[in-house]
Amino acid sequence: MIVPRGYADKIVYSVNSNVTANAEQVLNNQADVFDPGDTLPASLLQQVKSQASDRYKPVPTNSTFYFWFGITQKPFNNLAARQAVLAALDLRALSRIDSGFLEEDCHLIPPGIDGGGDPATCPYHNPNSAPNMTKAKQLMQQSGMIGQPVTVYGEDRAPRRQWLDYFTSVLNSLGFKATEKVVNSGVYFTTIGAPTLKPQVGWGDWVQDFPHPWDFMQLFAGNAGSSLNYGYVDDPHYNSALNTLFQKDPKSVASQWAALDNYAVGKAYYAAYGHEQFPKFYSNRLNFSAGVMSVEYQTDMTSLQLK
Amino acid sequence: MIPEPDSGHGQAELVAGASPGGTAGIVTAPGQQVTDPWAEGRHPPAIGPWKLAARRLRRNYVAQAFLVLFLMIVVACLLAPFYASHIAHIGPNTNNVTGTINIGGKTTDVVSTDGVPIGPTFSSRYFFGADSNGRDLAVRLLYGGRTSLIIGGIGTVIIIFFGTLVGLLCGYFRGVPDMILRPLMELIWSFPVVILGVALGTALALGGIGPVKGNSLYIPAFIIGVVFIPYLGKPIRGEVLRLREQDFVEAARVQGMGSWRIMLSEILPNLMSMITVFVPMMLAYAILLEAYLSFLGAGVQAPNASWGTLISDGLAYIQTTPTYSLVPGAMLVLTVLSINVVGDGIRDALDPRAQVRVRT
Amino acid sequence: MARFIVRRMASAILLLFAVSIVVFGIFEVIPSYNPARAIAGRNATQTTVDEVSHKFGFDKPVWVQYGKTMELIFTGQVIDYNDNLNVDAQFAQRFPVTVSLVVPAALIWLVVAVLLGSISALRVGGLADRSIMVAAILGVSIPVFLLAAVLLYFFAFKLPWFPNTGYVPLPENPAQWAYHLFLPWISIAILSIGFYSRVLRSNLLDMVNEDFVRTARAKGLTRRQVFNRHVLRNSLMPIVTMFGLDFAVLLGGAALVTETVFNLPGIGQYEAQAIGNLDVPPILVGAMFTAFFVVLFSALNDIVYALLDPRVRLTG
Repeated sequence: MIVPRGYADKIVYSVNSNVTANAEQVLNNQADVFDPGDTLPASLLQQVKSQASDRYKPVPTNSTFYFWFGITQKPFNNLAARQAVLAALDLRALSRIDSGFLEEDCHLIPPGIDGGGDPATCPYHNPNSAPNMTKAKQLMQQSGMIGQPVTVYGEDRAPRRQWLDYFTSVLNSLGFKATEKVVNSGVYFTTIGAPTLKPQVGWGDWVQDFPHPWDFMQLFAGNAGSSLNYGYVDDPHYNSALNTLFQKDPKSVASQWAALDNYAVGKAYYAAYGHEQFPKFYSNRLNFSAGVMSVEYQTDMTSLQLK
Repeated sequence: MIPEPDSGHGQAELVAGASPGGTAGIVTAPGQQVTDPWAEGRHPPAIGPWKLAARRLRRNYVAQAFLVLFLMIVVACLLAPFYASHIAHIGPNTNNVTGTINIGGKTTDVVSTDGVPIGPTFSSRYFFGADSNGRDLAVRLLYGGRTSLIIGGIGTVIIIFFGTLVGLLCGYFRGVPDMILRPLMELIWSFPVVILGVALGTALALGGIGPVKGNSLYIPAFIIGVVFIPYLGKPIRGEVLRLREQDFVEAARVQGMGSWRIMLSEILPNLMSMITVFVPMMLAYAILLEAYLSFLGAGVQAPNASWGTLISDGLAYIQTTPTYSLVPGAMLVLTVLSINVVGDGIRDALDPRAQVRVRT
Repeated sequence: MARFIVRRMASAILLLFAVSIVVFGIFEVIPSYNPARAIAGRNATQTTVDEVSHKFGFDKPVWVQYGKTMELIFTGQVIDYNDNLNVDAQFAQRFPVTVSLVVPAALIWLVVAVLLGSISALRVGGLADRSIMVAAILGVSIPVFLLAAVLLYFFAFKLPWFPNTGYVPLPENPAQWAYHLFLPWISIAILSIGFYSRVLRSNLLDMVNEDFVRTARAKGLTRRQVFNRHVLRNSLMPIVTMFGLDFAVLLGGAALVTETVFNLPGIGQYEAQAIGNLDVPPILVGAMFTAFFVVLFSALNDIVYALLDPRVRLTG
C-alpha cells in the first residue's frame, strides 16, 4: 500500500471550543488551518472575505442537517402535523443563521452522491424561497394537533442552538406549545439515543461515512435502532426499498434513490434543510491551492504545505 | 461582591463582628448634649435606632440616587411586556430571520444572508439591534432583566428565610439541631460555589426536579438560595449564641415563655438590623451568581433570556456588534452597583459608629 | 501541635468524603445520564452499550460504583468518560497553568488591596479615600466573565496591545508567559482588589477607636507608628483568613471562566468542559482537589494566628 508522504514535519492540533478565537488566529496568521468542522462566525466573515479572499473558499461537502420526528407518539404520529412543519420551515432562515454556509435542500441525500436530490423537486415549497404558510396552517387544522405540548431537542454549540431556537419558534407559530431542551454537544447524541427517552422531535446531522446513498437513507431504516433512528421510523415500503436498492450499483438506480428520498419527504419522516459547506481557510503561510479539502475527509493533512 | 463567586466568605463574618445589633438604648444625635437620663425629672428624648438610621439614610443623597436608579431599572424590566407589545411589536422569543426593516428609507434585512444581524437602530423597533435569530435585543434585554431580577429576588428570599431559621435553630437550641445543621452548613460553605452551582445547574436543567421542569426559573433560584444559606446562617448562629446568654432572654425564660416564643419575640427583633444589612448584600450576590450560571449555560435555559445568557450570546459578535454583549453587561453592572451603594448606605445608617472620624 | 495536625487531617478526610458523595449523588439523580452511552459513542448498538456498561461497572449498585471510582482516583487510574484521558494525569499537566494564573494574580491583588485600603483609611473622607472607594465598589459590581470579555475586546482586539488567547509555559519564554497572562491576571485581581480594600478599610476604621490605639497615641507614638505597629497587623488577620480561603478555591479551579475566555489550558477549563459533558470523574477529582486546598489553607491560617498571637491555642 502506498502511503502518501506529507510535506509538513510537524502538525500541532490545538483543540479550542471558542470558534471566534480560532478564526481570528487564522486570520492573523497565528494559526495555519481553520478546523472546517466549525462554522466561521458571521461576525468575522466580512473581514475574512475582504482581507483573506485569496485563502478562503467555501467547499461543499456531503453532509445533511435535519430535524427528525418521533412518530410513535403525539403530536408527530400524525402525518398532517409533520407535513405542516415542513411546509412552514423557511430554509433560507436556517441558512442565514449558519452564516450562509448552507446549501438549502429538503432532501437527505446530498447532491454530491448518486441520488442526491434536486431542490426543485421539493414537494412543499422551493427551498430557496419563502415557505407556504397557508398550506401549513391548513394542515395544522386538519391534524387537530393545535395546542399540543412539544419538547424539541438540540445541541448547545453555535449555530445548532440558534437553529433549535428558530425551529421551536416555527412550531410555536404553527400553534404547538413548543419548548426547547438544549443538550451539551458532547453528550447530545447519546442522550437522544437513549431508549428510555422517546423524544418527540429533535435535531440531527449526518456527515457521510462513505459515498453511497444508503449511508444516509439507513438513518431511517426500521432496524437502525434508537441510536440512529431517533424517531423510531419503521415504514415497510421504505425498509424493503432500502434493501433492494442497496444490492444494486448506486449509479444505475440513482433515480430510484432520489424517488425514495422524495417518498420519505412526502411522509415527512424528517425535515432536512440543507447540506453544509465547509470553509477552506488557511493562513498566508500555506499554499492554498495545494491543500486538499476532500468532500469525505475534509482537511487532508498530508497535502498541507508551506509556500 | 464576588470575584469568582467564592470569596466573600470572610465578609459575612466581618459583618457579624461589626454588627450593630446590640444598640438598644439611648443614642444621641450629633451635636446634642448628653445628659444623665436618671436625673430627677429629666427625660431626654430617646430616639430609637431605627428612626436614627432612617434620619441618616435620608441625608445620604448618593444612596438615595442609586435607590432611584435601581427602582427605575426594576420598573423598566417589569414593563417588558408593555414594551414588547406596544413599542417593539415583537415578542422576546419571536424569530425574524428573513424579515426586513425600514431604516432611514432603505429596506434592510434584519439578518443578512451572511448571518450578520443589524446593529442598534435607536428607534422603536430593534432599538439595540437584532441577534442572529432576528430577535429584538432591547425586548430581550428587558425580559432578561425581569428573569434575572426575579431569580435574584426569589433566591434572596430563600437565603434570608432559611438562613435565619437555620441560624436560630443552631444558635438557640444547640445540641442536636446544631450537630446536624452546622456540619451541613460547613460542607456547603467549603464546597466551591462554582462547582456546586454549575453542577447542580447542569444536572437540574436536564432532568428537572420532581414536578418542576428543567427550564423553570425556580431551579436557578433554588440553587442560588441553597449555595448562599451558610453566608447568612453562620453569622446569625453566632449572634444568636451571644444573645441567648443575655439577661432579657433569661428573664423571658423565667417568665415561662416557650422556646419558640422567645426566639420570635425576643431574639429575632434583635437580629433585624443584621438581617437588614444582609438583604442587599445577598441580593447582589444572587444576581451575580445567576448571571454567572446563565453565562455558563447552567442557569436560565434557552430560549429564555437573562442578562447572563445575553452576554454569553453576544460574545460571538463582540467584534462587529459590541452592543450585543456590552449593553446587557452595563445593565447588570448598574443594577448590582445600585444595590451595593444602597446596601452600604443602609449599613452606615444602622452603624452607631457611623460618625467616626480618624482624629488620633 | 501533633494533635492539631492529626485532628485537621481527620476533618480533611471527612470533608473530602462528604464532597465526593455529594458530587456523585448529584449526577446519579439525572434521569438521562448514562455514561456507558457516552463512552460507547454515537453509533453504538444496544449490545455495545451493555458491554461497555458491564466493563466499567455501571450496572453495579451505586455504592459499589462509588467505591470503585474512588479507588481508581487514588491509584491514579481513573479516566474520564468523554475523551478517555487519565484524569489525574490531566490535572497534573494542567495544574501549572492554573498556578501561573492564580499565584501572580493573588499577589497583585493582595498588595494592591492592602495599599489602597490603608491609604483610604488613613485619609478617611478625603479625595483619595473617596475615589478609591468608588473604584472599589465598581470593581465589586462587575462579574468576572464580563470583565474578562471586555478586557479581551478592548485590549486584545480593538487595541492590539495584548495577544488574544493562549498560554506560553514559563520555562519556554518568561516574557511571553507574562505577556499572555497579563490580561487574565488583571481580570481576576480587579474584583478582589475592590472587595478586599473595602473590608480592610472598614476593619482599620473600627480599630482606630479601640483603647489600645488611644493608649499608644497617649504614649507619644506618631500616627504612622501606631498604624504600622499595631493597627495594620490586627486588621490584616481577618484578611489573611479570607485570602487563604479564596486562594485555595482558585487553586482548585474556580477561575474557570477566566481560563475559558482566555483559552488557558488549566484545571478550571477542564472542569468546565467536564461539567458541560456530565463527565463525572474530572468533576469529582476537581471538587476533592479544591476541598483539599481549603483544608490545607485553613490549617495554615490557624497556625499563623497561633504564632502571631500567643493567646491563641491551636484547636483541632
